[in-house]
Amino acid sequence: MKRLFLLVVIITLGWFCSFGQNNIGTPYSYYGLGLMPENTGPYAAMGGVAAAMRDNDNINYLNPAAYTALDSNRFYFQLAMNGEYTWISTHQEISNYRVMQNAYLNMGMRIRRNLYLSFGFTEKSDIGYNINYSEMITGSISNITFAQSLQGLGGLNDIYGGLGWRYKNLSLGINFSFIFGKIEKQQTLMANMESSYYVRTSEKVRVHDMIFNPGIQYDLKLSPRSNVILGASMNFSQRLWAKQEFQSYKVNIGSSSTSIMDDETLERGYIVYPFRINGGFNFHHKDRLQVAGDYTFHKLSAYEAFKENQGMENYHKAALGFALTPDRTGRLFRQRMTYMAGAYFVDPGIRIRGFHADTYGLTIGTQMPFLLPNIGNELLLGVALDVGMRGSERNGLVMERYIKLRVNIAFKEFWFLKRKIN
Amino acid sequence: MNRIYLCIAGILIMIYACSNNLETIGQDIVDNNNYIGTEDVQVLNTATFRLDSFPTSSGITLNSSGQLPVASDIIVGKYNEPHGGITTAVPCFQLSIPSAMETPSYNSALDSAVFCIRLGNGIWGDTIYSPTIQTFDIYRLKEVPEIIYDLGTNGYFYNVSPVNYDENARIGVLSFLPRREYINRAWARIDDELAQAMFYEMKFQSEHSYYENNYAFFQFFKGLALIPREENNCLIALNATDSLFMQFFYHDNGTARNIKFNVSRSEYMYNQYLTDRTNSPLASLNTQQDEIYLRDVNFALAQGLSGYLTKFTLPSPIGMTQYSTLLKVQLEVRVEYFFRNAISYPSQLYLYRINDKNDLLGQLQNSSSSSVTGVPEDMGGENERYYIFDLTEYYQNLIDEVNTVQQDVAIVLPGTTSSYDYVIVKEEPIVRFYYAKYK
Repeated sequence: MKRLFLLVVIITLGWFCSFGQNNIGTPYSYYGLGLMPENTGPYAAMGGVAAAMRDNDNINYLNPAAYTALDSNRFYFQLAMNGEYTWISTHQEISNYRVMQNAYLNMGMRIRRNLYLSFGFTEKSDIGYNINYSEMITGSISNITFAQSLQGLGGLNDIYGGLGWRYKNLSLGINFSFIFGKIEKQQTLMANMESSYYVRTSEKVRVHDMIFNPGIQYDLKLSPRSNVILGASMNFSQRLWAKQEFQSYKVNIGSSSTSIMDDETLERGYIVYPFRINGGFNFHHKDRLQVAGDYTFHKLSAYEAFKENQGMENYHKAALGFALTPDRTGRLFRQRMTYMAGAYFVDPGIRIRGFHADTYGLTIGTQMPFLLPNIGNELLLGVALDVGMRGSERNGLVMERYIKLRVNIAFKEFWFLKRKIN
Repeated sequence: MNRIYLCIAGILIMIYACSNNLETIGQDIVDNNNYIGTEDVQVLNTATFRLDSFPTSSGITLNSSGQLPVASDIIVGKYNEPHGGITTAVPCFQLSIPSAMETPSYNSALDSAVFCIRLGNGIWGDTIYSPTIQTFDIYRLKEVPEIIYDLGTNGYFYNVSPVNYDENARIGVLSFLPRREYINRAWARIDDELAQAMFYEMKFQSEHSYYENNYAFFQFFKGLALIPREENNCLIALNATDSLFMQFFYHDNGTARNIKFNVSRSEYMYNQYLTDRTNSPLASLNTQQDEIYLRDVNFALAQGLSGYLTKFTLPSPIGMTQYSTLLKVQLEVRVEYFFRNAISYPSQLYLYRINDKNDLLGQLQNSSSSSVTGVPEDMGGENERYYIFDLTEYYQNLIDEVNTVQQDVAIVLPGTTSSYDYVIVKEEPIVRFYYAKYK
């Protein structure tokens, strides 16, 4: 038990430490609120389906109605992390980057009869890029160049608390989320000349506000051995309080002396977090086979920052996933494992020179249940491999081919058992 | 159970091993309108003027060691430069007796007395293709040059100070081809009559002999002037430190001996530089306030010895819009440049502030410890070269002080009084402002 506790502490600390770093390295995160997670949640190995997913092993925080599937007498602890390796190319250049990403940290339990609670920490969007390039200074006599570095960092984070309530086959839920974070763009402009100055700027949009995500799931019996779950979750278009700041300073290359040029709060107002809905199905057969499908629509065309539409297009995601558990109560470990595969397609609403930065991905993975040597405590280790590509090399765009290794760790522990003493 | 921990730890290590190195590509897909650009502003009223006069002696101010400054190079010769006219350099200097002068015996005999020179730091003229023999007459001065001790004059002699030599007192003729190896071997035989008389005085020093002390010798000998002949077409720097001397060779009881009279009294040593501008494009520069504009003669000249300087007016700083700032400011001066030119080009240029009378007020400063200098850059076409002056701090200071004064400046060559180097400005210089548009 001590070792388990130690492991949980180490993993959790590592998970929080990783929040100090950039989680993503794609120039596509330059747009809008950053790049929305394309494939997240405990069912990442099934293409990231979520709307109709529910079980008593995972906290499906993407649809709060799914909390009602948790065991009534256990406390759940779940976290996930990703490692990503991406090859990035244009028709002229090739590069690559590696990042570690945190994904989510959730806890859940039943608090009353048919009423379940979950709370945790997730990400709404990620920003992370560092683009360095040089260009000729027009008008210079000896082809002098200047270097420009554009860096983006930040993203929106989400601390949520959610409730799920079940009535017969119908489950309803709602997440109350506190959204916070910053969208920061940093820039360095430097002429490649001696005894000159260079300029650094930082433009931050700080955001914090509450949003609400209701969800619904309905379990429909098709036959004694099969059923289908229909689910949906959404949020309405909501304004999030925001403040835009701008700082700039210039530095003398020779003496390193610095002079501040601008330090101003440009605007206080709001950004519009647009309407989003996620609907799907999950077909179960014989408690062995699952086939699930999802569609997500996010009306990013309505995304505004400080009353100015940001020119994005609507976000669409379609995902399809399969899962097979040979025998949940089987004697052999491999029989109890769940084997998953999936695929997804995302149009992130980014349209550049007429082309969408679409993402296609294939996923494969497994969830391995371990019974811990205590009174029925369980650990579910999920490992998913996500292979995909984002964007295109056409028309000067960027193609990204990525491999992501995702780890989902879920503990469930008996907290609410009373020992019967005769 | 241990296998579980091992499995989880292994996967986590794999994930933690990711470096979060996010240096990516993709500038083309980022909507970015920021840049570094340039704006060129032409300087105003580029013109040539000439200094009425400038000091050519070291003056009488003692240096930090409490000594008078040591004499360095002197310039001698004549050169006909098509832009600026004919410049004639006449040096005038004094000799001193040796510190421990030996007295020749009564039966010693003078062999010869010669005047020797060594090349200093430069020759201006044709020394490669068809060098011609340069001839200089060595004259004694009629009288000791007069130092004016008025307050503020510092005892200087100027380029226009007269050289009062006795045309009937030529004591020798110096001839050589203007090449280092010939110059360093050149000597002139001292007039025999003078040499014999001086040698006689050495042997039989009278009661008040001019060899008694240096002052007496100075009053007797008065000094020498080297006068170039009409046909000369070279200006030559001679090393005046130890290598300019008069030497007496004699035999004393069969032993060869010599006595050497070195250059001394640096406060009395000066150069006269006169420029005959007749028939040159700059003929009308009679006073320091006269100016001839580049647009009228298609050039502006800055040159040492002749006193020509190129002046212009630096423009005010350009106006910066919001979210733009100056990163660098350069003055770009395009000059004529020929490989193996008879006159060399300076390795750097200075900018001096001038007033409306074209008086030099001091070097233009970037900061309290840094003067504005221009260095050559080979980025022009054939037969042209740019001198680039860094004016970044100068303009930054103007912007910080909200100062829009247009400053008159002059291009000054290093060693204006000891070098005939020049630059011929062929077009109006420009001030190039590099600015960043950062939002």
